[in-house]
Amino acid sequence: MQTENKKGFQVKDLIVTALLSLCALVIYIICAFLSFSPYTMLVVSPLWSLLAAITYFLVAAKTKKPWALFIFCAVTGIYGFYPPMIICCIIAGIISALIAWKTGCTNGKTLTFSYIIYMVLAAFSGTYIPFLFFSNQTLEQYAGMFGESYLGILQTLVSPVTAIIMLVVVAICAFVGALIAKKLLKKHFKKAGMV
Amino acid sequence: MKKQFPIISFEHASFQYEGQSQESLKDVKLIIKSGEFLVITGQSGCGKTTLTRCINNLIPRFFEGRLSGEVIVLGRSIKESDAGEAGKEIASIFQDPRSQFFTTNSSSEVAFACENYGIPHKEIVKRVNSAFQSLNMENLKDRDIFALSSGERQKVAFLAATTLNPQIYVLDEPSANLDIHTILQVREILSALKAAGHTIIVSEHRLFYLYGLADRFLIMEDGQICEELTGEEMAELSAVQMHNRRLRPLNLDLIQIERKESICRSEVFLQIRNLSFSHKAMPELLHNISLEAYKGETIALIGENGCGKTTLGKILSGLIRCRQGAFYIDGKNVKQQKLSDYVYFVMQEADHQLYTDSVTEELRLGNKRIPSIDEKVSQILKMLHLENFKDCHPYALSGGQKQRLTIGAAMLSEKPIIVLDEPTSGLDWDNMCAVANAVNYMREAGKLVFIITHDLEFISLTASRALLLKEGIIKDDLQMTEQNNFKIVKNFMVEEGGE
Amino acid sequence: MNKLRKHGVYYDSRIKLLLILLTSALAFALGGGLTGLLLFGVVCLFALLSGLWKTSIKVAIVYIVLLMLAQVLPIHLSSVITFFLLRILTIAFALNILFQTTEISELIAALQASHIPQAIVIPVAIILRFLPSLKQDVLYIKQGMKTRGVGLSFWRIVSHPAQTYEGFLVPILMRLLMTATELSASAETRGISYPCEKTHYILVDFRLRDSILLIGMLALFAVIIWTSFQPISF
Repeated sequence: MQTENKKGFQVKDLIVTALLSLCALVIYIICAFLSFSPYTMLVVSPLWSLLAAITYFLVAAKTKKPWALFIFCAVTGIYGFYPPMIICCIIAGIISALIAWKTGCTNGKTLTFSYIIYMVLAAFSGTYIPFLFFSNQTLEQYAGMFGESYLGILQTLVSPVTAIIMLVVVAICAFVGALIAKKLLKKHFKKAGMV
Repeated sequence: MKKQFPIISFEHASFQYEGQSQESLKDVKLIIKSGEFLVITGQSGCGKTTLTRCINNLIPRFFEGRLSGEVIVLGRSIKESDAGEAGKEIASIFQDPRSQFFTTNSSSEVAFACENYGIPHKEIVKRVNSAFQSLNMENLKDRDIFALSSGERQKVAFLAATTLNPQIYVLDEPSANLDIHTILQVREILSALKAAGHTIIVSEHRLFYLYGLADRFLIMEDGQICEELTGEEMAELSAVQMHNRRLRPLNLDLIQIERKESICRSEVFLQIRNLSFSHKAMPELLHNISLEAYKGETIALIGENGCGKTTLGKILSGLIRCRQGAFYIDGKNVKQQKLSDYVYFVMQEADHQLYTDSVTEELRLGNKRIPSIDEKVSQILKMLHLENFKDCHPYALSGGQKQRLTIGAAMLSEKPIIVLDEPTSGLDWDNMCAVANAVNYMREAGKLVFIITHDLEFISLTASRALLLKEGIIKDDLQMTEQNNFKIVKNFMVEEGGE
Repeated sequence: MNKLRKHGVYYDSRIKLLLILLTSALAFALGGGLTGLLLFGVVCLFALLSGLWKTSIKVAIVYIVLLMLAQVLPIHLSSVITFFLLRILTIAFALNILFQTTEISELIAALQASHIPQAIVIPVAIILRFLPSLKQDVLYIKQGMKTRGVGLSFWRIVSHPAQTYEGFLVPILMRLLMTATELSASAETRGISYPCEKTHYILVDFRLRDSILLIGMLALFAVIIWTSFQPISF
């Protein structure tokens, strides 16, 4: 409907972006109820990437501004209240904005691609960094406390192999989520004339 | 009063929103003088909101589209200005007090505009304090926005508008979500602003509170001003003349109840005994309410904003859990949570109850097991004048159409009891009549209908009985067959139970 | 002036924010055991300073009970507790301090005073402002679906997950988009994008007391980091 990149900064777009990132955040909070144990917690990030895709795609479709994608990623990162996650989300935001700036905000394929990057980075920093990189020390400590069998249990959970597998799972879920988002966008938001 | 000179002028102004096929304003010529109180009215979609958006300069920068002709506000063409620039001299107040707030604290909200225009801190504090004082609303100072009722929020919106002391006030349906008592308080505020010499422009369906206040009325149709009346001329119109112009009455005294078919009082259908309710850690909202109701009745639940009408409706529909009280339907005891099998609740916000991607699907949702559903759907579409929109997306409909659609879904439901929460808020005369007809149809079909409403005309057209709620109890239970009882209801709404 | 500041010491909200960030960064970066306990102790100290007596006592009791459970439970469960629950509890407690004692407007004013760009402050403010509204929308949609006979139940989520997701999310997003338009129209007419230096109704200044508190907090965190590198553990 609108031509792309028609105008620079408008508060309207900022508010749309803010409200949609709020929605993504609420979806995250709902998913995060599953993190009552480390085992179910592994599901949180894949589930989030599956369900929240529509918010990311709506930002692009409604505002048609690359910088809006940056704000979206950065703000969801800030609300992670975790410094590594904030940094990774800002990086993801820069990548998303650059891709959208190069290829346009209505290009479904590149949007899917940047969404996958964003989700993998967010999952990596939000869920796996604390358990992967910073837990060795803890593991050693616990091994001394409880013995080697315990170490085995924890290591299967937080080993690099698990982390990589999980990141692949997140990427796949993000891809499926993007497909669903595009379908919803067409079925509802374009039909209702909202975007 | 100041000398009257033209402050706003429309010279052959036309406007077409981007992505729409028709012009929303067509060749409008209008001059508004300084200090004038102007009311713009007409049906939904007549262009009155577009007109107000021209005045506060949201058009053409914020709402984009094609503007031709010229609109001059305070000596500047709106083509060269924007809403932020104009905001120093033009204050805007909108319909929904929920989505026009930027902060969560009433004082911060009142200060918001001053902060944006760079007024020094000390001056802001002074202006905020004097705003609360001058309109006598110090009880609203420094309050949590979410703890305020919708009426109080709208008052805060007025305070926020006054801090910059603008020349012009533009109001777009400010009364849509308010009870009559609060609307009359809004009238007081408007009257004070008028006396102080401000120019006021109101776009509105509900006209009664502007009686004796407005200098001039414009009636719009299809993007054009089709009639212009002075306040006195408008006051002389009879109820029929108003309805011929498809307008809501200016004078509440003119509203009379319609005769409804006599109700056969066979057996008590719904019985509530000793219902009490309080929200978590809050004082009791409903106290020991008992009630008997019959099929074929339309019962109006009346009371001010926040008195517990909606809560009562939701308890009755099994949507909110309530531990105290017994419920009987057709003589049988029903558990409170199971009430949702018998009662259908239509919410005030249509947007919360549309889930599918077309109007037809929306009506079929949850009703697929009903025999010959397709015929019933098309029958209801016809009755609600929605057949031309049957493949549209529900969110592409106008506010009035959405409201009718949600009521259509209620009509299809096989549940014997229907509760409607403020089904006519923000609706024009035609849409209100359509909703009233739908409610009367359900009643005549033998359903028990509850309406929660602030709309006196809607009550006059549909209600057969009225329950007046105040301080958690049913203060009065009146049959709506006599004009006298209707007068009691009216007085209750105006004075909110005689404070 | 406001109900939140009645008890305890009032200190700058940016300190609370820093407390959250440091706590969440350190909770997982450092070991558990004594270090975790110390971290919890620091958060507790700040909670008491803010006058959150009741919350502090409640959370401390939960923490101690969990710690004791971890000693007696089989290793699978106790690992969940020490590795995960205790840390989450500490971070949640730090978040709680901010949200229980700080008016959102005050936090925003503090962020603006720190020269964080408007493009970040406005979204952060809007998210805090609309979180409760969104909660209400979710509740209403849930009620609306129930009355339609397509209510939310465990069985329905399992049997029609896609429909439930769609039925829930589409109305919420539609409403959000409408709200965005209305809110930004209202903000525009009140000069949000007017090009001038913004002023503030609530003044935040970083006073001497705040500086002392900040230094104290950083010192405490330094001690915690130091202990975590000591070979002793209990």
